[in-house]
Amino acid sequence: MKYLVVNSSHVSFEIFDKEAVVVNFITGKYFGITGSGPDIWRVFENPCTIEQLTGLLKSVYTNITDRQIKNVIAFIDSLVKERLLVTVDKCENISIKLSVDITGEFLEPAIDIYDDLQELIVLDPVHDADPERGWPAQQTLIEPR
Amino acid sequence: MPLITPGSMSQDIQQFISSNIRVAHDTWQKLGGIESYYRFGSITLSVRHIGNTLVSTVTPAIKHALVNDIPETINGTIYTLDSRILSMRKPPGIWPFSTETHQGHQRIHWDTETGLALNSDESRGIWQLFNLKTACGLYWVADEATLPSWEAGSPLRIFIHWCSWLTGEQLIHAAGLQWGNTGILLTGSGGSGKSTTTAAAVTAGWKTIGDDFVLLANKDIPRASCIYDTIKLTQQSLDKVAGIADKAVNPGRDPDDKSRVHLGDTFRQQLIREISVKALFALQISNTQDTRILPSSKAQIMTALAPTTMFMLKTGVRESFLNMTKLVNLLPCFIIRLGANPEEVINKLAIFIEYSIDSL
Repeated sequence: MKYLVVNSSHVSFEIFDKEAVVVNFITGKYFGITGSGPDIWRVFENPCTIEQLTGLLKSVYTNITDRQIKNVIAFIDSLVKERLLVTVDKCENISIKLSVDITGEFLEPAIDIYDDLQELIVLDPVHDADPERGWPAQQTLIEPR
Repeated sequence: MPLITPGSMSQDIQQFISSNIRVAHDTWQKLGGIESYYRFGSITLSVRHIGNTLVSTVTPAIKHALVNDIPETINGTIYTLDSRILSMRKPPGIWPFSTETHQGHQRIHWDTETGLALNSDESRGIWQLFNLKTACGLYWVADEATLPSWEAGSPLRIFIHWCSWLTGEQLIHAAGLQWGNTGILLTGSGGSGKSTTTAAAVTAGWKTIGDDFVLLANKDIPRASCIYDTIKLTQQSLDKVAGIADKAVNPGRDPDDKSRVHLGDTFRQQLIREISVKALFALQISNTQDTRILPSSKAQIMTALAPTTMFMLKTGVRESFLNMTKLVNLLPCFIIRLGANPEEVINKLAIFIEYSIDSL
C-alpha cells in the first residue's frame, strides 16, 4: 500500500478558517489551499492512501460525483508534485486516522502556488555532498584565507 | 558519507563554528577595539569591533539603540572582524549540503542540539557564526569596502534573529507605524510598498519603529520594537514622497542601490522604540489612483508575512512560522490596495485607524 503524508520535515502550515497556508521552506514556494482542500490536507496529517481518502469523501458527501473525485485526485497530485505530501511505503505502527471532522458541503479543492520568493532561498537541502566536487567551486567565491 | 539531517550537525562543522568564534574571542583579548551595547526589545547585545573593524557598516543604523552604561545582563556578544585583522579558518573540505543558490554561494545551517548556527554568503565574503549556548557570534567579512549596501541598512540582522531565540522574541519582515496611540504593522514582501508608505507616514508626523524588520514580542497585546533607523527607498519612491530625497546618506549611490535615510538623524521625533500592535495590514500595489482598505482573511496576511520573513531569515523557520501564526490569530487583519499617491494612502489609513481600529 502506498500511503501519502504531509512532508513535515520540509513544510510548515496553518489552517485559518477555510484556508490553509503552506510553506515549503526547501523549495521556497508557498501555497494557499481553499475549498475542501484544508479538510483533505488535514486527513494527510496521518498516513493515508488515495483510496482511503476518496472512500472517506464518498461516505461524508453522499452526492459527490465522479468528476469531483477526479478533481480531488488531481489536487492530491499537485500536492505530491510540490513535495507537500510524500509517500510512505511501510506504515507499521501508525494508526490510520480517518476521523477528521469534515462537515459542510463539498467544495472543489484548489491550490494557489506562489514562487515569487524562490530567489531568496534554498535552505540546507538534505543530501550527500558529491565526494568528487567537495567544496563547491565558483569563480567569484571569496574564500577565507 | 552518511546522510546528515537538519538538527544533526557533523563534528567538522561544529568544530569549524566553535573554533572560529574562539579565535575571535582570543583576538579580542589581544587586540581589543571598540565595544558598544545596544538594546532591541528585550535583547541587549554587546558588539565588539576587534581592531575597530566594521564600525562604519554596523553602527549608523543601530546607534539609536545604544546603551551608554554597561548593562547588567547581556543576551549576546558579537565579534566583528575582517581579513585585514584576521583570516578565518577554512570550512571543512567536503560540505554536506548544497551551497549554490540563486544569489550565489551560501551556506545556512543550524542545529538545535548543539546550539550552533551558520549563515554565510561566500560570493560576497561574509560569514556569520553563532553559538547559542555561549550566546557568542562572529561576523567576519573579507573586505568591508565590497559589502553590499544592505549590510549597512540592516546590520547584524541574522545575529539579532539568533539572539531573539534566547529571549523568546521574533524578528519579522514588516514595517511598524503608530498613529496617535495605535500601532500597526504593514506586511508584504520586498517591493510591496512598506518603505514608501513608512516614508510618507513619517513626513506626515506619524511615529515609526522601522520600515523593514521589527522585533515582535507575542503577548496578549503584541508589542513590536525598533531595530533599525533606516528607510531604504528607490528613486521612484523618493520622487513620490516630498521632503525626503535630500535626507539620503548615499546620494552618489550605484543606480541599482536604494537610497538610505537614517531617521535617528533626520526625523528623530518620529522614531520610537516600541509600539503596541493593534492590527495587521498587507500591502498590495493596485495600479489604481485611489487607495482602498478592505478586511482581509488571516490566511492572506499570513501569506504576506510568513514566507518573506522565513526566507530572509533562513534559520529557525519552523519556529518563526509558529510565532507569526500566533500573531495573525490574535489581531484584526486588513488589506491596503495602494493608490498612486502615498500621501493619500496615509490620510486614508489615519481615518481608518481612528474610526475602525481605535473602536475595536
